[in-house]
Amino acid sequence: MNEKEILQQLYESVLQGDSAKAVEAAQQALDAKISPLKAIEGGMTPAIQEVGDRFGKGEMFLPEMVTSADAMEAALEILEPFFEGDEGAKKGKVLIGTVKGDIHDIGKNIVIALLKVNGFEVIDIGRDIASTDFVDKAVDLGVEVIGLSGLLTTSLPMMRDIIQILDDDGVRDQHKVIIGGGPTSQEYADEIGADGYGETAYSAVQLCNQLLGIAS
Amino acid sequence: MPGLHFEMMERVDQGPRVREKEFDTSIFPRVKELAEKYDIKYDPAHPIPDDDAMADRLFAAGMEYAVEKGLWVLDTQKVVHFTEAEIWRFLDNFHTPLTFGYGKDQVTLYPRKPESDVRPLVIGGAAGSSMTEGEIYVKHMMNFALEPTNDMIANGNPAWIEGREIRPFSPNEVHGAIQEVGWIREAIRRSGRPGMPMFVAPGCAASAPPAVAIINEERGLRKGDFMYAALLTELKSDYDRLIRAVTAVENGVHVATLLAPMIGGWAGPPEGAAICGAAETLLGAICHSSTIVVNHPVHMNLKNGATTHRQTLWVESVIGQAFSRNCRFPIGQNVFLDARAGTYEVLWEAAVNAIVAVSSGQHTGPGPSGITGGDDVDMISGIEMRMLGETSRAVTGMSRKKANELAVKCLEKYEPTLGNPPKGKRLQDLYDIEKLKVKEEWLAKFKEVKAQLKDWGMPYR
Ligand code: B12
Repeated sequence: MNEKEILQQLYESVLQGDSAKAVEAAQQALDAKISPLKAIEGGMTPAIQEVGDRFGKGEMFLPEMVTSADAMEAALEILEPFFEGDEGAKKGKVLIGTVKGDIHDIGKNIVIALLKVNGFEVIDIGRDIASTDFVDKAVDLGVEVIGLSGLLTTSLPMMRDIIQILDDDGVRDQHKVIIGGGPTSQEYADEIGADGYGETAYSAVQLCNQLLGIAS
Repeated sequence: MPGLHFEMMERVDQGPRVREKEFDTSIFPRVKELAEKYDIKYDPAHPIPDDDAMADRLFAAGMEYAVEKGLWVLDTQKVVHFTEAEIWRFLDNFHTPLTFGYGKDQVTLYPRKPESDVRPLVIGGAAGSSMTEGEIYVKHMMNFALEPTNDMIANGNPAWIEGREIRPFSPNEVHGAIQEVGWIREAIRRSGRPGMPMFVAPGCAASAPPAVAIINEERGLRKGDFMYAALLTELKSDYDRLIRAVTAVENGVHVATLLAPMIGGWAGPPEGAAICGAAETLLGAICHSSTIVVNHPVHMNLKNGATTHRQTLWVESVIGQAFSRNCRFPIGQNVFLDARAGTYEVLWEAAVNAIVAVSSGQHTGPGPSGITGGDDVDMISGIEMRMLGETSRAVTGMSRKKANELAVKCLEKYEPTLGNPPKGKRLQDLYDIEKLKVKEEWLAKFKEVKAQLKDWGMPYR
């Protein structure tokens, strides 16, 4: 296969969410001495952008976006050891979950998929997660951003607690905290001292870009 | 209803472990195949399709998928399976008609079919909308209980309790749930309908203990009232929800199983959500030993979870038709409106939900609801419920063809602002709250919308 064909393979495998094919194509790229940066920018990034676009237009659905993001991640894992400098590096690490007592996770899953599609490394901590677990995990993994999702009125106090714990543990300045979901609002974010509120999954991406000083 | 109580309890921790992501992402490819195999097609011009054969094929597709896929349990990461014979054993032995409530306030649920002239049950109430606690909460509930078309009352959610935040798994949450149901009992008594059946998903019950704590003949849920137990989207449950169901059933409280198949979610487009929803209806009914399944399709683009998106209406309609044509098990239609009290849009949305539910063989409600929280506390009133109830009565016996025509006309009224509706008003602004009398301005809007519907051929009395 020539370079063009390999890049096309990468493009298609990510678009189709085929992890096995994406890994194979990434390996072929390395074997053919295509630079990792070129493999990413020439094959994978356009594919994942296409996925994001189609999702926005309602032509692609959550499961497809999730499997595409997975295929992209799988291929990146193959390429990563060969990066030079910070080429291909992720934009930043984001930890996301739904707070204690709340099992709503649809919105959270969409936020995660869109952040991944937009180049963030995302750790999904799950739903119904204890406040202390959010903080401990964030510190352990050294994430830049903590995203809190909550759909119940009873979820609001949990968000305040998490910020309080970050404060008490003396690590508040090391993590940005963003919140989202029905009962949350900009006013509530201000009240509890969160760094941002996002009404939609798209605004979650904008917020992360903004907070990490990345031009979108 | 005798479900497969012990089979469920036995199977929740049997079999191989299945990882959640694998369970979730394998749904879409399979429902796509099933949609082709059973020829299920969404048609935007027909939110209420008039196609018996497709309804029957959807039932068959749901049955095949329910048997094949099973229900995933969060705590154990195992899948509960039932055979087709077991599912039929439950459906075939489902006993109807069923009577709910006490004394003069009793109501009866009869099995219905699409276009049936058998009266649907109307379950009216705020169904989870945020509201002020105490006397205002009681007034909200009285407002719904005083609507004569309301057969069964559904609760709202107090936004706080005794002036304090409600935290899940906290003592205050249990206290709140007990208060909440006590206020509903007070409201039905003060409204002269002390025996009115209650349909309750306590807002102060993010966790199971408060839900369990409200079963109490004297001041809580009585035998024969309803308690909600939801499934997790898609095709999932957990111990918390199964515990609510077991507790309710063994105390003589009916279980209403709520499901939220998602359009644009794990099941993909409307066709996938419909197949998934049909499978969920079967599995939820059995695992919870339910008396009714309440369907609440969610659309990915509507943050408020409104049930009035064109695609959502279609999913509601086809699942309703599939079940009412193929078994006696009743389906209710959660009514979640995007707009808020005081607007024209909220009335069009209420009307359309009633039209879809009733013409498709379902029962109406619980609803109207939709309010998430935050600034929107108290933005709900009995007038939306009146639109829902009166329209449900009027649509009874209407052909799907005619119902579809009316639904499409209603859609034209609110679809342009769906997802970004005009701001509404609070009950306190729309009513004389002490006397619970609706103010002229709000009543006039109601009359206007009703007159328009009547003009289009809605046979209101
Ligand atoms: C679907 C649904 C369910 C499903 C959840 C399935 C699942 N796997 O998630 C089921 C049926 C299980 C369910 C259960 C319950 N539910 Co519910 N549910 C809903 C519903 C209808 C839609 C939510 C949804 O998925 N919306 C679609 C998604 C795409 O939107 P979203 O989640 O808001 O996410 C978007 C944005 O908010 C944002 N976002 C989300 N998270 C984040 C995070 C960050 C960091 C950022 C920046 C952005 C962001 O981006 C997302 C994409 O655009 C809402 C209605 C409503 N008005 O919200 C009720 C609702 C949230 N539920 C409610 C209730 C009360 C419950 C129950 C307690 C009922 C009961 N008594 O059993 C239980 C919850 C138990 C628990 N412990 O959590 C109430 C909450 C009321 C309140 N204010 O407290 C609501 C508002 C309905 C109502 N009026 O009663 N529910």
